[in-house]
Amino acid sequence: MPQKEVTIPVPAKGGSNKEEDKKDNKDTEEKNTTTNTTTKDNKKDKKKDKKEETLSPEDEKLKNDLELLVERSRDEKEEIALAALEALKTEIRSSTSSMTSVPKPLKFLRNHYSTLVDIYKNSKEGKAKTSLADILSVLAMANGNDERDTLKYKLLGSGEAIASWGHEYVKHLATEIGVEYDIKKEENQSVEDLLKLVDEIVPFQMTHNAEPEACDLLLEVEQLSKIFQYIDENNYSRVCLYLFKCSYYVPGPDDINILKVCVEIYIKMKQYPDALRVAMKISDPELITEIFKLVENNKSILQQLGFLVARQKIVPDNFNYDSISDIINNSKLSEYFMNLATDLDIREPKLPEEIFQSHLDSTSAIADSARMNLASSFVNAFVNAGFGKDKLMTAEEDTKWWFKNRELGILSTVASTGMVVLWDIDGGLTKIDKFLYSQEKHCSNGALMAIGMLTSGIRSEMDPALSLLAEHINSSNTGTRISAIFGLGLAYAGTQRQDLMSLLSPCLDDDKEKMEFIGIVGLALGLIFIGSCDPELSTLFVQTLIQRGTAASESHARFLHLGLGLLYLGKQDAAELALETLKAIEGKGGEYARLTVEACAYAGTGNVLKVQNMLHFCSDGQENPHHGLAVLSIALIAMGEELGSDMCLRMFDHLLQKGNVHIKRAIPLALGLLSPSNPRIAIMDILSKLSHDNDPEVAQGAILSLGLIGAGTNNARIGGMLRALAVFYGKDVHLFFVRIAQGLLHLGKGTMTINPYHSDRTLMSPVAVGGLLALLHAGLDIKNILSTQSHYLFFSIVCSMYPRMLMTLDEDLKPLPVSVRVGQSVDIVGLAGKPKTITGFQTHTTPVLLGYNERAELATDDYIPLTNILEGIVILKPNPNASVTSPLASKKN
Amino acid sequence: MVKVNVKWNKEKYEVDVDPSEPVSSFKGQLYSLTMVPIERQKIMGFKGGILKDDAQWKDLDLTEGKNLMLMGSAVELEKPDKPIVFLEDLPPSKAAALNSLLPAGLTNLGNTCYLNSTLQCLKTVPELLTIIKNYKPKTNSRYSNLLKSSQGLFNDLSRLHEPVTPSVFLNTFRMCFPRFSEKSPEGLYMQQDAEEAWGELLTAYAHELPLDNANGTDSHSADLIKRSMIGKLFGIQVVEKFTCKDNPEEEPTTREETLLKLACNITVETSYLFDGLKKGLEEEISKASPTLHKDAIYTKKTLIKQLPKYIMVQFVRFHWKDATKTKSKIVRVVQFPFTLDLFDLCTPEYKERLSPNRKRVEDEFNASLERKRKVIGGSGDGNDEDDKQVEKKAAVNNDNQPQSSTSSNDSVSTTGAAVDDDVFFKENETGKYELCAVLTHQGRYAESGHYVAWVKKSENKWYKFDDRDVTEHTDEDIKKLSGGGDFHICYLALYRTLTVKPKSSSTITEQK
Repeated sequence: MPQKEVTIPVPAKGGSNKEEDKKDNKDTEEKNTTTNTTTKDNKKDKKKDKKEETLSPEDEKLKNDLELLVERSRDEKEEIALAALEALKTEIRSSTSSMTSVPKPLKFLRNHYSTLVDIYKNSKEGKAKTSLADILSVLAMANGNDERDTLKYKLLGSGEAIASWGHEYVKHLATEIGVEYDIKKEENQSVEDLLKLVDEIVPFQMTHNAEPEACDLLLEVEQLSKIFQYIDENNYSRVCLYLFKCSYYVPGPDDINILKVCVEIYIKMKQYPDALRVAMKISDPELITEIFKLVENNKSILQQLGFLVARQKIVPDNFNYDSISDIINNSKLSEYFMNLATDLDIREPKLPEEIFQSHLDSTSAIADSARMNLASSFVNAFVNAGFGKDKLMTAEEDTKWWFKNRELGILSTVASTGMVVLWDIDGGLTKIDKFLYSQEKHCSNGALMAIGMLTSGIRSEMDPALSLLAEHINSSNTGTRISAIFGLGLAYAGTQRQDLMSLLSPCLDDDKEKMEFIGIVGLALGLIFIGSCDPELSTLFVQTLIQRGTAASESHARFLHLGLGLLYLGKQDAAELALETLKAIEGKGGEYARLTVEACAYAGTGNVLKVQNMLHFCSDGQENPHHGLAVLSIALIAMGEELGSDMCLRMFDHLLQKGNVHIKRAIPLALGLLSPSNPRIAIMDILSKLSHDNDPEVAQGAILSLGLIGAGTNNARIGGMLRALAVFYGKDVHLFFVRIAQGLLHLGKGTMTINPYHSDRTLMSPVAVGGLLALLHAGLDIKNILSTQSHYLFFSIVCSMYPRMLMTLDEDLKPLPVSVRVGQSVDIVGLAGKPKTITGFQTHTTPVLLGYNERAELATDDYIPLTNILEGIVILKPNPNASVTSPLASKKN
Repeated sequence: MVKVNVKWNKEKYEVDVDPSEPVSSFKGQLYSLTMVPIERQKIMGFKGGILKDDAQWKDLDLTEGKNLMLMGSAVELEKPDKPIVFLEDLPPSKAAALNSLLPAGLTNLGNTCYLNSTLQCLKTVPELLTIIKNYKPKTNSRYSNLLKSSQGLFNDLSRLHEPVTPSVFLNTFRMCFPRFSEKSPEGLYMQQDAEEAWGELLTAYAHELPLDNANGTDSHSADLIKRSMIGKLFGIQVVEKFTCKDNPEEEPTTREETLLKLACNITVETSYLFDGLKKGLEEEISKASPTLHKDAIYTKKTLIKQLPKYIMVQFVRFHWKDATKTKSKIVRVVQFPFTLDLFDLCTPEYKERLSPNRKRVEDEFNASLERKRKVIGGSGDGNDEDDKQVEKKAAVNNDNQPQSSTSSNDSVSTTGAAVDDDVFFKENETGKYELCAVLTHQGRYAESGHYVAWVKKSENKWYKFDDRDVTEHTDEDIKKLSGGGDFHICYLALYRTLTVKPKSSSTITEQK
């Protein structure tokens, strides 16, 4: 796990440390030889001779000069000493050297360091003494001991400009300040003098391409706010980027403070979309509203901000957003998506058989298998998701496909219509309408769920989902209630609407209902109030858990626990209280709840301690079914960050070898959570291996996860694997999962992602995490939940779905095709200058699809994007300084 | 009057609401606009969810220009007439059967693929299955056991959908024909030539299945085949004409013969099946000449006197190589057609008999083409279908007719050998055949490699019987079997008569 406690974490810094180490080694080596020379060991005489021989005449002269100067500085007469010291200073400053070797004067003077220290001690106060301190401060840098002499003598010195001694000196000084600061703080001493120095160092670093170092220093002396004074349009982006990435490794609450500084810098530099992004990362509603208020009068920027919050699916509080309500409500999402589809020419509906490519494996089904038809329904929904048109459910001539399913299969099949017409409130509702009137209970229930799914993430003043579903919540039929409540959960995930709380929370008290019902109510509430830390709901959840007693350890109870966990998603310490109260619950149910809440609270934080906790829990040597949950929790905490997930992979390797069956079953799911819609080869390989496991649940989980990591990518390699698996598992239950995975792989015909991270992989969408978690928790008991009665939970993935597109609009929000370069993103944190942000790019015309690791940049300077991260929907404004000569531009016009 | 905007299905309507009228009259207005039945109208946008019929306008937040949404459709959900039976609801055995409606394969019992594939090919001849089924065991006959075990085996094969293990049959087969129980030095049974197995089997069947009027089993072999049911089904009656090359003056002799196969001899010039067949029917042999009183070279020219319902063609691909002491294979590409016309190989007399039929079939074909052309010009769906039926008849008949004959036979079969009616053994009337089974060999030597049977199921649909594994294939896959590499190469091909309409058969019988 990333080292949380280390405050100077970034690789660039690590690199320079290494360099320093190397230098230190060299220094000590040389020191050894010099001590040898002083002791005049006979044996080493030869070596010494040899060394002296190698000195060039100039060096020899320099050495002698320096020795003379040192000798002079001892002089009684102050003028002579002073002159000698000045001469020494000049020698040192004028020496130029490469980065890797110690400057010659420093090297030659090293032998005399102790002499000089002695001189310093013995000399009188005065100009010569401070001047000597200056020199000692520099020499101490090359002398490399732990005494922080550089700093010590700097403070004793004349206080002349730091810059005069060069970069290396400043860097060294900054490091020592950091250490000294901690010590002084501990001993409660004044740090005034240090801060004064800092004030001198930071501006130097900021103006000399060393922004990361300046940030580090300020972070160490807890003076980050000082950075504002030095921000200008040249360095703000590097500073913010560095600070933003740092925050990941800083323990709370400092990380929030750092991010807040970031926001302020962005606001100062008028980079409102960036500011908003960071504010969303903090998830501070007030800050978000503030940013919105700042741009109230700038229509285009406001719209751009609207697109950003719409992606995150949140709404600014206390802000009259009428002018951009269409954007924030996501009402046009369907339209934009269809625009993308038209541009890519993929609007034609696809049949599941085309996905299975069943003509290739020569096994043709003769009879209708309920399970396979159900799988086809799911695949049909996944593949045609959002296109509003398919060949099974919404086709012109009624295929009666829904009827080719059994009982609960009908429920899921009819509900799948909702996914096909996803986001399209206007056109979609009519297509679902006819199912509402079916005499078949499962069919009308499915229609309810479909209505919920259709409006997932879309707000409308008409509130169709609530209007239509509310009356069914207290129906006499449990199935109807479940469908309506689950539908509401999907529709209003993340909205935190109080009217839904009063509508749904009484359902938790219903003693007559089974755990499945209570679980779904809990899940729906958790999704709606995700990350809200609502104390009232939290109490209600805990009460329900206590009331239900032993029933709280039933399989479906996991959704109640998950619901509770989702309330605290990403809220870290805010969950402590809930965790304490959960300790009151005895037995397995309480354990599940505690693990879930803890994992959710630290989701995506990479918190090492929490990961360790989970690991400890896994390694108690017992057969505890909750070990699987702990494994999933590790992935949940570590996800979203590359180093963290790499370390997870290593851990899982060990767990696979030593862990019990529960751990083994959870590992594929955990891998799925680690990189959804991001088919990394390493993960793909592990999953491919596990998909042939003897334990059916391991294999099914692995197959499902293959679908998750490839979701919406059309990845050919995974496609091949799944086709082979389909043949291999011919008639097993596994085939159902293979089909589902194939559907996921071609989610939205390869245009969608289910990865909760967006905006250059920095922002986690809580709703998307919620959707994924609901599916994966269901996957922890694949046999009793997903493959039998509650397969409708596959639809919880709808919360995570979003087009992985880059679409450019003009200021009137009309699509504006421009050429963009799309390539693999390059990590530019801590790099000086203007490094390339993408590599191996191709030039396309928007709208384009973006992969998980891809970034885009404009290939023309005709336009200026209103946001620096080109992702999702971006508004462009014409560039007044466009170069007319650009060939691309002329072609465009 | 209050004006509201109603959105329905991407369309927007401006509707004037009269607050003095009840809600239902507003819904009536919407009905006239959208045709959504009133009871299915769900109007959203007011506080408190869906607009209820008994709601009062004064209680609602009705304002000028309010946006409302109407959900509803006039579409009725239809339900299929009959319930679907799911695989999961069926008993396991039935489910398994449905799951693989593929016919049963045969287990390989140690290099027995030659026999398995032969049996699968023979199984495509429904008439053969019927006569074997109706076989009444006779005492003291040589092959009675073989027939009995065949009965059991074919019964299993046509009934089951999972691999059958032919151990009983194999034992009796080896008992009857000891040369097939040859073992390798390691003690394993050796691979055999499928064609030999085919021939032996048919001869044995012929032995046990004489025609009614035939008597005794002691007559010599050629006659025996001719007078058996096998001869009726597979026997090609030919006239062999020997002309002495050395003495052109010698009077040519003729001999009548019944063959069970046509051989396709492969030389460097052979690229098509027909070339090979022609060559096979014209060869030079040496035999004692009565005029020259010594062995002389004769040309033997074979012409077909009568064509049976089924014809087996052997691609003579194996030849004895002295150098290696093995029967090695010629892998040359020899294209075989899906329909085979043997008219050219017949005797002039037989040709004469065939021609009227051929002409009629041709006329019919042209007529159907003509009709088709008309239909394309005009517009009659019914006609079109008729035509299709006519066209398909040729293909479909092949599938249907054997079955119908089988069933009709079942009724008469009480009399044992009463199956020799004209339809059942009806000879070929046009000289035209279609491919119905292919037996392929993969490998370089007859005694090694692998035999596989490919059997036609219906139009463009074939089954491949690779021992226990049965898979589906298309015509395209069959075309790949013509040789040229190390893939499966056609070794035996079974052709069956391209059937014509029953009406024509009656005319034929009249002519007779």
